[in-house]
Amino acid sequence: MEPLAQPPRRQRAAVFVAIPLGLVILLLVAVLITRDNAAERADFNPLLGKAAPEIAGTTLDGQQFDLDQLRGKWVVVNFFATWCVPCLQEHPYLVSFDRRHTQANDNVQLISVVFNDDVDAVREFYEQRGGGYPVVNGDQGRLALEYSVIRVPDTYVIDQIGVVRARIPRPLNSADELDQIISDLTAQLTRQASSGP
Amino acid sequence: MKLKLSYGLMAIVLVGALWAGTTRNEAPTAEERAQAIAHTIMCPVCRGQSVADSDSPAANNIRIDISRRIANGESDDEIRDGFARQLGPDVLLRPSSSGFAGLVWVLPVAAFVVAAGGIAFAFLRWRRWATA
Amino acid sequence: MSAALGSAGIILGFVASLGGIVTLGVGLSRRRSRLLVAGRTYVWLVAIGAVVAFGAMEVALLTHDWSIAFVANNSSRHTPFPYNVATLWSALEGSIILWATVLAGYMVVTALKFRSRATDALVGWATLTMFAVSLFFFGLMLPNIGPADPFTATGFAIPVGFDGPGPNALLQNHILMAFHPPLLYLGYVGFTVPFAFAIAALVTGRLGEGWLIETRRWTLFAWGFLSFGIVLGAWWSYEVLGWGGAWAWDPVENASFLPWLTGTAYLHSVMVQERRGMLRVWNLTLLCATFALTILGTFLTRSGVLDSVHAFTESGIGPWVLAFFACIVLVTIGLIGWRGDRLRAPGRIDSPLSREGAFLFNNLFFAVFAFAVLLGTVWPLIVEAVNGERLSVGRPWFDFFGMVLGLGLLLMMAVAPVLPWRKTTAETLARRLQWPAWTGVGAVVFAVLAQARGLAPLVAFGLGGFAAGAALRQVALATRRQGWRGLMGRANGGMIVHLGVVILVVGYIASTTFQTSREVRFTPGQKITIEGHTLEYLGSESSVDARRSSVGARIRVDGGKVYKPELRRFPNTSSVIGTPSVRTGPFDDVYLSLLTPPADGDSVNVRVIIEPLAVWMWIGGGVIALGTVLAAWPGRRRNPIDPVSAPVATERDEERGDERELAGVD
Repeated sequence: MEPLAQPPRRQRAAVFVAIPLGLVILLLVAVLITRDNAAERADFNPLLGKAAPEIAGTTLDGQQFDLDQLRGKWVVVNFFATWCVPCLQEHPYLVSFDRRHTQANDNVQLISVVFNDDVDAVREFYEQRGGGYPVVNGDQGRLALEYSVIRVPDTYVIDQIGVVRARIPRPLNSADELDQIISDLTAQLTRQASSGP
Repeated sequence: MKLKLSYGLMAIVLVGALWAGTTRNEAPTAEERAQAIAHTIMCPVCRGQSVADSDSPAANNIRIDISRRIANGESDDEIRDGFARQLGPDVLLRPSSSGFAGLVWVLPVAAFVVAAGGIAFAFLRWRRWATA
Repeated sequence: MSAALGSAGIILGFVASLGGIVTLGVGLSRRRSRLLVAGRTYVWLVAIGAVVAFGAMEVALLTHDWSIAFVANNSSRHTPFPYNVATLWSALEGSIILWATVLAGYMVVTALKFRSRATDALVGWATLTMFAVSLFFFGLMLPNIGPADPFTATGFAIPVGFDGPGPNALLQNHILMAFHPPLLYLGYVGFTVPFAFAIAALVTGRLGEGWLIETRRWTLFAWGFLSFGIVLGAWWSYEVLGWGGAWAWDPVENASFLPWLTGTAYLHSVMVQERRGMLRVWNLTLLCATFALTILGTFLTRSGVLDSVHAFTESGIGPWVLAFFACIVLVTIGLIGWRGDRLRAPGRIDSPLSREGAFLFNNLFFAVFAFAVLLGTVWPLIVEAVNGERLSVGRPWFDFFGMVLGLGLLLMMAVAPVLPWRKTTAETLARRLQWPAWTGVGAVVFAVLAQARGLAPLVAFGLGGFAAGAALRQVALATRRQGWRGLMGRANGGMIVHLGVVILVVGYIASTTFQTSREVRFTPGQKITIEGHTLEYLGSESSVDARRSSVGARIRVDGGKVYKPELRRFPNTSSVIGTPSVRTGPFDDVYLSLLTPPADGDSVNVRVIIEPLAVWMWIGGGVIALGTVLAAWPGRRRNPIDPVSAPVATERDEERGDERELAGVD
């Protein structure tokens, strides 16, 4: 039986592997910690700058509704449901936004689309909590899919020629947020128009 | 000797079976092509599922579009590129093999080679001590 | 009321963890054994805190306490009993409560098991480490401070008659939902204990095999629960999600698979450490990596950074979890670097053709596999950070590398069991592997005769047969030697586990590669035949109850039982959920999904998937569980190992050990 050979005096191999490995892992951590939320990322793009998909259906009052009829106005399309707590939280902001623009009788219109909810529950909700803007039936989720809406609340801002200009895939922060967005977009579009060919 | 015969026979049977099991005599049908492509396109609204696996209307529309493009005579690559242009490059489930992103195909192989090399090196060192 | 109680429980858990850290810290640095014993009482306080928080949330869920935001956001009056309880872990904050509770449970069991050695510094450091982990999880939930406070108030007036959305509809469709997360957590959290002992061993420098033995069974149990939890999750995905598959390399699935890979590598290479005293650094790295990966996995699934079919919530805990992960990595690397020289065993592995060599290669495959899975999962994030490009890494990529590495592992599973320790000759190997090799070839021939085509699946079937043959050979030898006791103990139980893995892998390959999928438009009374199965559509049927409304297609399969795939609509949730119906058979499954609600003339679109050998996946999982239990059973130990934690063996001890082994005193 051979005697165990004496290994040579070892350099600190463990350290030489550990330090680069540690650095790589820290780099990975740095990358991960600076990433945006996937929901904000994933939902962000598809319709931006494109023609808004058709919204045609019946409102809560039984009227026929067609998005095309609102051409010439800024349209805010808000997807919601009564069982969604953040939707309940932003509802007062939408109501005050709508009231402001109805009184001013300007070119901004808010509409809501029901996202998989019971129509009677929605009607009761609006009776309790107010909101005089058109609420369109979501057609069993078909409209939501066309707008890539997978969770609510989700709000789109469509400009006067029917192009999707902004999307807020989360509850609104304040009653003025939409106004801010629309005025920013108006300024941006005016600048683009004036600097064009 | 008996062992060698046994393994020799095994090798013959194995090669024969594998050969029988892998000769492909027909080109894939249009439906097979559509299925194969559908497995590599991600459904844009369903969080990671391919359009072949998803039931959503968006996935349905894409599947119909794939069949339409195959009927149009587009090649598999052309179809995939078309969807990438329409829906964004992240709709392709099989990452491209070019550019920085393509490194994802290389890195695991590199890791294997490096690690295997390390083990081989260790064995050589151990053998050297034994004979030292 | 519940909110106050629950928050109190969390604060108790947090403060008790802090108390434990301080008491044990002082006791360990000043060597005051009285403090070490006193520190243990804090374990009970942590446990009480966890149980109180858990109980308070369950009560709140069952009594529909809408004043708590978690309840308002996640539960509903219409959710029936077991699902209501399971709502606790259907969303983020509640799942942290579950984690903390399971952790507290493990801490209590550890404290009880080691109560006679409470004054041992090793146990002290391990307990301190566990307190640090529990401090983190309770800290996440601290009322008003923590990012995942489960008892936050709803914050606005609840309208009369309010009803919340209930758990995600996918989570209400199958009772397995109640079991899958707790089982998975028993696995995940279970790895905290061996990790704690690894840290303790590093800090105290007591790196002999003693601590290893203490925690080996822990690791095996944690691994067993994790394995079972993963297979259960795959079964749930199959039964509920409707796409006919069980594994999609979804980020959440990968998050559970990563610690499984390193944990399995550890279970194998630890045997080399037990027998030869080698690979100490590597084993410690594996243990710490396994735990770190459970934390990283928590980040990936709960931070919302990656999209996933499984992603039920997203929140602000991401940065905190990531910081904790970074901490763990830094501490581990620091400790290993510091103790590096003392860890090194002065031994060597004689030959690659040996059990040790095989385990080394097996670890190579597992490590590269883990690297690949992690790489593929985070690659889209890395690329986006580097050059802003957006891309996906999906099933095609994972299946490719999974297949290559899986084949390598199958080969290892075939060869390693028959290899003896130290070294052997190619001839011995060839002799021992003869019958297993014939089994493998037989499997290929059988598969070809059964119309299976394709090089990769056939090679996989061959290697699977090879591995099964090797496992059966070992079991046959052991039972011949020891009777039915030959089925117990680590080595033999391990062979049963190998068998289970082979069955599972064969089932997975067969059901995915060789499935036949067809979309059929049925009219009432229509009969079709697919792959030898007759399907007769009998008409649709709808039902409404308080919880959901559903419409289903009644389909008689093979002239026997009627199966009803449905579309279910839960009143308070998004969209319609497809509920598949599966006819399970020993040779294939008939998987039915209803795609569209009945249209004119009661016609429906149904997707029919014939999946060969799908049930083998679940049978394989069961065999793995059985094998794990058998492996944990104390077998007849031929080489008694000193249970007392001993310092690093000196060279003379090593020589003596070697002499005994080579002399055949195994």
